[in-house]
Amino acid sequence: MLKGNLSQFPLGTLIQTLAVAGRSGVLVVSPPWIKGRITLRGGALHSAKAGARSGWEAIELLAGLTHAPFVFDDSLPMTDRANIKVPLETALARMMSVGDRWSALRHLPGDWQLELVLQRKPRGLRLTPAMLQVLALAEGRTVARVIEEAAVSPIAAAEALDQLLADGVLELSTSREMGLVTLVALSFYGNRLGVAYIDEDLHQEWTKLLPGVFGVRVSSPHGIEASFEARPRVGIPGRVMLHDKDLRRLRAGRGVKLSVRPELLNRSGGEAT
Amino acid sequence: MNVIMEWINQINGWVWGFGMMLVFLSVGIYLTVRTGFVQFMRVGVIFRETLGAIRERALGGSGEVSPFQATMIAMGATIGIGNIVGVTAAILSGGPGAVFWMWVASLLGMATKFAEATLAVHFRQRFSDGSVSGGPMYYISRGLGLPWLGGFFAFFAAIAAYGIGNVVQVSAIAGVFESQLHLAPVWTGLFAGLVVALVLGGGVRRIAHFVQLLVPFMIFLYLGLGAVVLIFNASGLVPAFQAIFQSAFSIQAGVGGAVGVAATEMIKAGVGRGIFSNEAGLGSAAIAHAQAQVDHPVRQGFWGAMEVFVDSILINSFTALVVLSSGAWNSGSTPYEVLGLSFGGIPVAQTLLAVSLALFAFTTLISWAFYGEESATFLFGEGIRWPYRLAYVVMVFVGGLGSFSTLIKLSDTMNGLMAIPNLIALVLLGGVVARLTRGFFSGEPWTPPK
Repeated sequence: MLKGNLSQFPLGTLIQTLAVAGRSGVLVVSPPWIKGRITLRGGALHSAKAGARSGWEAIELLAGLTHAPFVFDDSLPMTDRANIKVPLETALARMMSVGDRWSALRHLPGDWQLELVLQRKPRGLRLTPAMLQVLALAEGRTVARVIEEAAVSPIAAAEALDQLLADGVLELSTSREMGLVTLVALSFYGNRLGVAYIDEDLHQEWTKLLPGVFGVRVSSPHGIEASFEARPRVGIPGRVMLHDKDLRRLRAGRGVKLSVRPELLNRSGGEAT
Repeated sequence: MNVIMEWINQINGWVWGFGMMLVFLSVGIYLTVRTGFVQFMRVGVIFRETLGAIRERALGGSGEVSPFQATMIAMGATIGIGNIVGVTAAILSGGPGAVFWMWVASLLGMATKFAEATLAVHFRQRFSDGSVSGGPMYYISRGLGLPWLGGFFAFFAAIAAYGIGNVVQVSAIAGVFESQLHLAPVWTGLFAGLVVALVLGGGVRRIAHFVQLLVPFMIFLYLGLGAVVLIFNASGLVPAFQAIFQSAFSIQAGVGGAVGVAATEMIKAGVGRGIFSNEAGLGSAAIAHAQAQVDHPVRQGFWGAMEVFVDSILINSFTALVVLSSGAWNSGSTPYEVLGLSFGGIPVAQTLLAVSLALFAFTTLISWAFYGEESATFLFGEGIRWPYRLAYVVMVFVGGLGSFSTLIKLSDTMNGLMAIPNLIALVLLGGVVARLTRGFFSGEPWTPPK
């Protein structure tokens, strides 16, 4: 069994390594938003599936993941029907080419759980068929779902999304479930109202996942919600530090469990949601 | 031998004398000012950060136990037979006005204990395995750069633990069990020794798990018992308060049996109880507070202040009100007899009082073992832990069998001597406490010293 993360072993390199070794088994790639599965037989690509995509399109989609845990297991039953017909060399060459196209995308976030919001009408923009497809699907859906469900290939959908995000036609917003964590409230004092301190490691994790400046949305057990500026602080794992007065506004106190999720702030500094 | 005993007696009289009380009070006033009158101006914060946060577990950061557990270890030692018998004795020797002066001293003690707990966390030593050690010996050594003075504190504490932390307590438990259950002291010693050995064997974490249940239980048991007695004596409550406030400022402090007690005697009795009951200034509790997992030392400081509040303002006041409202303090009897009369009106009250006394003594026994062990480790390194524990357990077993008056006197003196290096450190490190307190209330993160 081989375990790792695509952030350390990109999919192309991984498949090439397994192919050269002539391995048979199932490679399961599992980011939080999709389940991917690639079967190899004697080093050759046999079948692939990623959400609603299968065959070569599934591989194309999975090649776009920059970080996701993976497991290659040669003991799993290989019951999938063959749906990849191209020879290995051709597949590897195509994967390299697709990989280059994915890495050229500058506005697509690493976390595909982010939701898409239609920000303005695409005036003055020459819309391609792929863009039209994406626009038809985008509002309120996650990046993952649009790439998975668009009637064009995953990379074409991703490129269209990237362009629409670059032109500000679409904007990203955090979904209610994304990054949702339960943290225990800790109070601080002074004059920094409206600030939430979270542990440095969690802040770093969210910084990696989110494409821009983010704040946090905090919900109390009483259902009161408020947004805060997110700042890192060392040595408070499992905690969110809020000003004593902010805590009281949430009708919470030290030791109360609060639901905290990151939320992207738009370019003017306001909240996206 | 007699010369040594004379010396010990002389030092004992000095370290527990009125002059030393004034030093304690002066340090309390100094720290009250340096901390911006924290116990008065931040009373809401103290309650929210301690009792209001009781549901939470550890705060993260280095440390061995939760802030609540650390405080329960400290309270296990602080709350002892002095909270019952000592308070009664203070009323008998100083009159009802002594209670007022006890409150005054306790309020100042809140700032002292706040400073001790804050410094204990700030200057604690972190080890590579994640464990920590702290207390006055560490803040004297690391904060003042005077390891020899820290060594003196540790030496006094390690010796004191055997007497006032061990023999005195086990004798009290044996006495209670003998009178209430007709159990021979040898069995009490054997049972107490076994339990102490089991608890100490698990280190600070097991001690914390043990006392976090037992200490709140014994506090509620005693307060519940006191509340029932006070309901029975409800008609005596207003006169009790009147007696406290009227005699507090009168030259003739007594109202009845204690007529003729001079004002200084009253203040000595009250202030003495207010200082020594909660151990603020002695530095012992700081050893427990240093173990807390907190993100900022001041947060543990609040627990220090709360510890004094519960010990001296709450528990001692219950004892005082029970004794005063019953009128038994006027009977001219001994403290134990007065307690018997005060709690005597209610069936099983005397038994519950005896159980409370035994529990108070037992938790003191456990917590002081930890103080002594930490102090010995500061002096001799990790290798001393098990030999110290073993000797402590043996002493628990034999403690109830004899009087050990010399050892008790010696350890009592050592206990008093602990205050000297600690009070010096508190004065010299008052600026650090002030800076940490200001930083905390400005929302600044804590940076531990290198």
